[in-house]
Amino acid sequence: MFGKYAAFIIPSYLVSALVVGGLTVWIMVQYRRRKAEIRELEARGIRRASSRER
Amino acid sequence: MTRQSAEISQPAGFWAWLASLANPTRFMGIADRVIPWLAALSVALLVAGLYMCFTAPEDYQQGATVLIMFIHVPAAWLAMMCYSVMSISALGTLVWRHPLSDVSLRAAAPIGAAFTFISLVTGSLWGKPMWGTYWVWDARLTSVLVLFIIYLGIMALARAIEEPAQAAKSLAVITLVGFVNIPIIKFSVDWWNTLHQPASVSRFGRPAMDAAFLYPLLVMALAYTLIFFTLHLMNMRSEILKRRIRVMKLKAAEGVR
Amino acid sequence: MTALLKRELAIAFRAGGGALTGVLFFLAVVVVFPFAVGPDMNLLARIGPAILWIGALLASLLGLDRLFAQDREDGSLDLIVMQPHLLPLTIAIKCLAHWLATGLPLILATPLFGIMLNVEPVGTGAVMLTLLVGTPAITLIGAVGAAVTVTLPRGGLLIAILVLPLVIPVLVFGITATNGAIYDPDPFTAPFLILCALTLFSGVLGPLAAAAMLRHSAD
Repeated sequence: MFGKYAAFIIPSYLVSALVVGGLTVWIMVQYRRRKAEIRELEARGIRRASSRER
Repeated sequence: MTRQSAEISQPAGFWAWLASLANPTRFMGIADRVIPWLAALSVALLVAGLYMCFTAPEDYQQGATVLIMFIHVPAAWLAMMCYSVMSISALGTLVWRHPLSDVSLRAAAPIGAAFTFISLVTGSLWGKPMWGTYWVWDARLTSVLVLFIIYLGIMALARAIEEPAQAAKSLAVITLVGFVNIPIIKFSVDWWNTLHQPASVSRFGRPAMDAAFLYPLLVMALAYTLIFFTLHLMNMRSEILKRRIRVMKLKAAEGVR
Repeated sequence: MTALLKRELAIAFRAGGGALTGVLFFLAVVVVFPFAVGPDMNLLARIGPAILWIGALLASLLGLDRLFAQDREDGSLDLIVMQPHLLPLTIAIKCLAHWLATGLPLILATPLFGIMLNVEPVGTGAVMLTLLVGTPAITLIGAVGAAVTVTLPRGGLLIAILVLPLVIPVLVFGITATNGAIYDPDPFTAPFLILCALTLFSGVLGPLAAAAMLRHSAD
């Protein structure tokens, strides 16, 4: 497949997939981690200014 | 939920809606609902685009390497679009003082850097079989490289300044100054290039594109754009949480005192 | 305004000789190059103008963090921002003083370094002329970098990273004009005029952006 250019086509698709995939995973992991941290802080009884008004 | 959507659909217009987004909690609510749909749509488009890419005929000149073009050109396009998004956000910070615009700028920077990186790597992987080397100091490649350095500089600045309000303004100013300078940099690199460029490269300038390549390229460009906005929204959500954590920790520190 | 210029110059030449440090750094860069590329005088003559330009560019970036840092440390930055005069004008004058103290000595030192690099007199003259027009642009664009990183205790390296991509056009047209003066078929006037335009443009953009930044960071 791809003939003689396979050595260039496959790496470029691989790099693109890895970078976009890595970025997605990084953003999601960071989001989860921060969400967990907020939950933990709230469990310790710390609230945000806006959440107190409710 | 119903209360929120009722507020959004008020006939006050787009600007009022944009202003109502200033409330991060409301933004989070909207983002939470939009992101799954956006993600699903971008994956669907990506699959469709990839299918079209691999069923496209080989180019008579580039051969199978035209496959690289399908992922390279949209990345390069996004590299520029992302900087425009950041510049609009910078205006939002400086002119309208919209609180979410700084979140947007910060969230966009790493994504823009990633797409710039992709366009550089795929570009040089295309250049090796076509030009014979991975890297030429071609005007386009060099300008994109400079853009990449600007992205990294903005990210470094974002990490360096602790105080949020100060950081927001610094980032906005440097982003806008970069935006004004990018055409000048492009112009100077073009000039420099015409003086030094060996003529061999320019003969690979592509003629008008055939429809067989244009449609896959357009679908891929659309897919990339949607991926960008999905990731951007996700990263903005994450950035807002980071700010909340900061506020909560400050409060906790006050409480201890 | 002249009072401000005098004050700035007095500070620049008094406190630890920022001007001298820049020239010394310039000398260091020029000395390092032959060790890297070899002592071939013909090669050095050919790339000499480029070495001089890069040395001057790096040396002017080096001192940029002092542009506002000192005023911030002693609190006079707030006074400068608060004063009734036009802030961009004040910043332009600060840039002028900074350039007189750090940029001008580099240009004065260029003929000496030109001889060391075997650059012919016409080339040295062209480098001096282009540096005279080009280095103010570096200072003016650098003022934005300095304003943006003013709150950072060690912003020097970050300024260099932020400013370098923005001054690439200055380098390109400076070198092109220099080569135009040395080698016959290449044009001199066009790149030189563009270089002048770049400096004038940065003379507007730099102080305005730096002023916007400083005013924002004050409130």
